Amino acid sequence: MLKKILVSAILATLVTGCQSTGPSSQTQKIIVKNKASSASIAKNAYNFSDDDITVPAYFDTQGLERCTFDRQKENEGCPLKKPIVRIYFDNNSTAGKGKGLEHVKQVNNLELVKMLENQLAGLSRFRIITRDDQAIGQEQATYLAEQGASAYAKRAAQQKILAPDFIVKIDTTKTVDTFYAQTSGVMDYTLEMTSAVIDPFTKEKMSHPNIGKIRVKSADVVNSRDELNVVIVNGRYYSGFNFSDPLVVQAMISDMASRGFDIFLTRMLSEMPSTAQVLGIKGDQLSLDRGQNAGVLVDETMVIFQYEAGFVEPIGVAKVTPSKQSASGKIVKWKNSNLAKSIKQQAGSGIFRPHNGAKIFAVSVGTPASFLENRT
Amino acid sequence: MRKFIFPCLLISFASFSEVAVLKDGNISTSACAYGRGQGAITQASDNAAAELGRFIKGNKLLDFGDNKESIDVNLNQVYSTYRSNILEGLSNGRMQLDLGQPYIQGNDTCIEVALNIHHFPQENGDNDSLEWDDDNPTVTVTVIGEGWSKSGSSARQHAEQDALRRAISRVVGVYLNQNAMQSSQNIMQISNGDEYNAIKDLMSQQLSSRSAGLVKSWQPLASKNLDNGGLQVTLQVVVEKSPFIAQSSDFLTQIGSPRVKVLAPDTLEPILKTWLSEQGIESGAGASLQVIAKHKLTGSANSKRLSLTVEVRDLADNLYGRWQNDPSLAALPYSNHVLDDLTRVAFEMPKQLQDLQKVLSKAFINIVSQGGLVREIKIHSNHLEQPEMIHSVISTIGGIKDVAIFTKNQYLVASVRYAGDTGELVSILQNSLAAISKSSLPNGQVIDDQTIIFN
Repeated sequence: MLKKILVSAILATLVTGCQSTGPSSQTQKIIVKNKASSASIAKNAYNFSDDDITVPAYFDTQGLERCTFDRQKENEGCPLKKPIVRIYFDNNSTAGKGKGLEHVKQVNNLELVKMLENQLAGLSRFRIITRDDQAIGQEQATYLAEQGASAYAKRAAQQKILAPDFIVKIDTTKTVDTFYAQTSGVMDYTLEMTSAVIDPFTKEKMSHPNIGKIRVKSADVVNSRDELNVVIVNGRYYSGFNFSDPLVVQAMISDMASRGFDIFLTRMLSEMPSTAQVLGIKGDQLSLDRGQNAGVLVDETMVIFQYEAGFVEPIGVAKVTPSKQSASGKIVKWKNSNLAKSIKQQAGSGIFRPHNGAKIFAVSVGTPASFLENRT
Repeated sequence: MRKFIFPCLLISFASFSEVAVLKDGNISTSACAYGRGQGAITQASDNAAAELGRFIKGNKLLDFGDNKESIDVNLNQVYSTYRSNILEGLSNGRMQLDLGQPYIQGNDTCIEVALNIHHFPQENGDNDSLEWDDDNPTVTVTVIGEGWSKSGSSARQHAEQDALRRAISRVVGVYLNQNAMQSSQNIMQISNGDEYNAIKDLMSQQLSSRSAGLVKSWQPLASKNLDNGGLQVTLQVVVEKSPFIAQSSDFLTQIGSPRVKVLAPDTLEPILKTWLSEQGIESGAGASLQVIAKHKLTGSANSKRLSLTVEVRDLADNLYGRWQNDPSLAALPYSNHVLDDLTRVAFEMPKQLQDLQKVLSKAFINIVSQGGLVREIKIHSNHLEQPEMIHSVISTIGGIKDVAIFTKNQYLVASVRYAGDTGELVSILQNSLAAISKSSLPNGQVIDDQTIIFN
């Protein structure tokens, strides 16, 4: 018996040994797909399982000690200091052999810039300098006329235009193709967007936030694909989707850009999650040291974790509601761990405050579901 | 009764925690204020100070914290003796408070504040007894001067001269501090120590040469021998105020409000002239100084910006000061009246105008400190008997600096700087040049404020 076991053990060792000397395989081949991009949003805290309670990437454990809380003169090391940016779209880069390419070229990028400015401003990740000079100029002239030179000068001298730290550059390629069938053709517009954050003085393109490439197809923004059908007679538009009308084309591209921006925002929120320090836990209630000022959104799903000596240990997942400069939340699910149990117990009989060098933070897991419903 | 114990009673307020008495006899409390940052910290610390004030004023009982230990300080005595001082110090902000580390509590920022009863507010000591008293016709200063004997004068003479110069300089300092610069009509508004020192030096230099007319009397208080045969004297000097004020005002007017010629585009000229006259600067055609203004519109149609420059030059085109506005502050969309609008706005910006005022003030000080405006004295060669002597003759005239001689056509030209006015210079030249000219030196003519010709 002992002999059999010994032989089996030797064989097993040999087999294992043979396996370990084979070629290593850390990568695998996949087919690159050219599909339209989709948005991914945070799961509701109530739907988290225990395994889901892990710490998301890109959290920032910088405290508020170095903050001056002066918006105009915030300390470099303060997590509330947001980069000031101006947004640019590139010139119209167009491609494809479809009908009406000339109208795609005429799409007004400044309108798209303003749309993105509006949406990005609400995230509170950047401070944005608008490029809407027309509205600003008009208002300043009206202000001068209504309030007088003295009041105008006083205000203008007090409030200087922000100086951008970076520019956010959106590169787009717009493609139009027409596929011909027996009785009609189908228009197919594609909008590809990539974004870069650039230091305008060093020309450096920053590695973060990395939004990647966003691809939007015209079929994604219409109610029915039939809307893209077109009848062309003698090379000219006859009926269906009017590719020869610049306004129709502008509307289509704007819809596509809008969808692209939604995806852009969700990726931005995952790349730049909001992090806040937990000041105390009382029962299931959380008190956070920052709120709207740090970009915490309404109904934000946040993972609570302890940070000690470089190690992170998840404690639970919470649903958080921001106020202007702090936030409160409710731990919806506690992690099944000794640490979480201990904290839960202490928080059950009073206010638990982190101590002995350990700090507790909350980090958002991505775009709250309600954001896409109510803000896009 | 060395030790005593107050019964512990917690009195709580909505946003204040209780006041605690520390072992060293100081009392502390913590308070919160809505918001973040320095503003909130200051507010919280003010709230805490007010709470401490209420605590001392009222009949609250002391809380000794958790252990309720007795303390070793006779608080009764301390707080009853200094009660009013502490309350006064707390109300006027002069009581020393020990501030703890601020911490965040929800939307509030909180801070622990301890009242240090061992440091009471100090009375302001007045260490400089010299004051400009308007009711007194003289100013008395005590100064020390040093001197060494040379070229026939004794060490004592030099030491006394030095002391008198210092006395005038000191009086100038007090005068400038307390009187001259308070006038809003005077462009000589001193904005920093450098300008103050420049004016003080210039004025002391000018007035010291006339110290005989300003010093009413002086008497030696002490003297001490120095190395190398030197002497140090201490003098009590009485300076008469009325001639001093008259000469000082003349001097300040001379450098602060000269007459200028304004060269500016039509849209800018009236507004600039009005502003200059508000500053007490007269403008006119025959002036020896030019204020040259230029403007330029830049930017896209939706945001036109105005660049303005103002330069101070003399007739020989020497630059004494240059101001440029900050075009980035205001932008308006293009219209027929955008230039007028932006010009009006530019002349309503207090900070920009202060800068312009400073530049002009500096320019005028520059002119004086360089020895006055540049003048060209043209003398027809026929009139001079000893043309080679002209440099040395002109250089010896008091108030003249930077003499340069060259010939131009039939004229010998002397380019000089002179601090006084041109007419005064002509009469001085008439006398001085007589020594090196032929008998028939004609009267000097003032062509413009820069050029004098003996033709």
